[in-house]
Amino acid sequence: MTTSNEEDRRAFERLLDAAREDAPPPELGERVLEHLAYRKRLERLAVSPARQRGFRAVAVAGTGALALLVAGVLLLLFARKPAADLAIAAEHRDDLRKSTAASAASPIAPTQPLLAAVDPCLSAGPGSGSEPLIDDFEDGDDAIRPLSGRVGFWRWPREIDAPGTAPALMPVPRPDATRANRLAQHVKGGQLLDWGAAMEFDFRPACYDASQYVGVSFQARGPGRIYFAARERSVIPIAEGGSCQSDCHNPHLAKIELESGFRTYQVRFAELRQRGLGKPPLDTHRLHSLAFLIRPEDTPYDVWVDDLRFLQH
Amino acid sequence: MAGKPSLEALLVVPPLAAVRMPRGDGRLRAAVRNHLGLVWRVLRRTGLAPADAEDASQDVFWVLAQRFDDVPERAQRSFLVSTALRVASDRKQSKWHRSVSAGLDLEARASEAPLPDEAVELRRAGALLDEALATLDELERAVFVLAELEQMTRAEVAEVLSIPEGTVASRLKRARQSLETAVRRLRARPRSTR
Repeated sequence: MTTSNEEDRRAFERLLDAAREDAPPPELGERVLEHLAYRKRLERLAVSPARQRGFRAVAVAGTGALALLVAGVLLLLFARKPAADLAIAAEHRDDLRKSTAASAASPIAPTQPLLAAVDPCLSAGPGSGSEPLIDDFEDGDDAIRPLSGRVGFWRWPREIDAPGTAPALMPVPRPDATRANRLAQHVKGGQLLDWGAAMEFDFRPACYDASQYVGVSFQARGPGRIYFAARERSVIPIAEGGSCQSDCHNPHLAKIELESGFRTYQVRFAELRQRGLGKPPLDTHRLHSLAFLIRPEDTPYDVWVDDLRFLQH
Repeated sequence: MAGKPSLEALLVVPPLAAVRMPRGDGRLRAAVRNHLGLVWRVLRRTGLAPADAEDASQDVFWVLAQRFDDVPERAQRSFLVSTALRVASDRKQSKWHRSVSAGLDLEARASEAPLPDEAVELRRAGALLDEALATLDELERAVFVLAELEQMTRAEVAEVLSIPEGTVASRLKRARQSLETAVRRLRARPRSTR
């Protein structure tokens, strides 16, 4: 009996020793620090001084008025001189020609809706700037969050897919799922040889004015390398809903070196670059789509993306 | 020309943590490094599943980060322990915790497959102790975890839990007796039913 009691006591002590040795996952410390930095940053963005907000409101209003004035002058110039040779003139020339023709055929037809039908950017107002979350995938569907009028659906085009048959991309549980963050987008595949693969969505209608934001942030996990791409309408071929006639599929990019654990990355629109010298910066008023690109040289690939959101000023 | 960075180099975006840690976070980093193990064990032994304990660890250190200048370094340990107990208690009372705890238990039991691995044995021992700890009331459990597992002094435990030292002693004695009985009963149970 005594022996049995002693054995039970020793077993109990072993349990306590095991419990004292319990250690958190090795990467938890870094994750905690990352989380704290992220929350601090969000807090700073949310609690900006009233004076700064007031100044920002005046600046936004002023910028809006100036943009309207410039747009009016440009429209006037195009109407008077249709062959004007400006960098972004191609799609506007078409628009104007069509609208002019329509106006001539029907003098009472309104010009603006016709223009908007040809170029959705003409009817797209700037985003409010107050709803930065694009998608955290926690709703488990392939649609981005319907905030601030944004609509779009995630898909996973690969070079091996026939055009227009890219599968929809549904979120799956994260390997390190927690109560607050269960799901993320995940793509995985073998060697690719042509242009690679992507995780992407188009804004619908195919133009979104993101000028109220300065970039995006997201979590991603590799290992490997991906490119974040913001595509203007001007790099998407006309057949695919854009306005590009030459040098198409040349989006503004940032290279992201991933690690084997989730990390948070920030990409500012001003940092994005197109291939080639002397290319203009991204026109955030005319976004067609956002994408994470995987180049053939970075395949096989195994990429996770989560918590995509715009960065506020 | 030779010193000009390449476009490829310009396009590399550093991870957020590499550039976004605000000033003063060296001390916060040290607090996380020194006390994360303690916070983790308190959260786990007071009944949170690993995934929940990870979230809760972030919450605990977030509370510390907000009060960092008010909490002297020597009081950080007590502050973190009492915050961890409160966070764990809140989480256990939440609707979400109640709804998924059954599923998490199933996961824990699934991990009891016999593997010749010391880590798995340790985990199994931890699960057995957790099951026994679950038979205690919340105060006894907290007293036992702090005094016996974290080896805090009775005075420290009394301060953290805001109870007299005498109560700490009596609750600790009772908790130990209850636990020994519970562990004996659980060990006697056939493995297949665990």
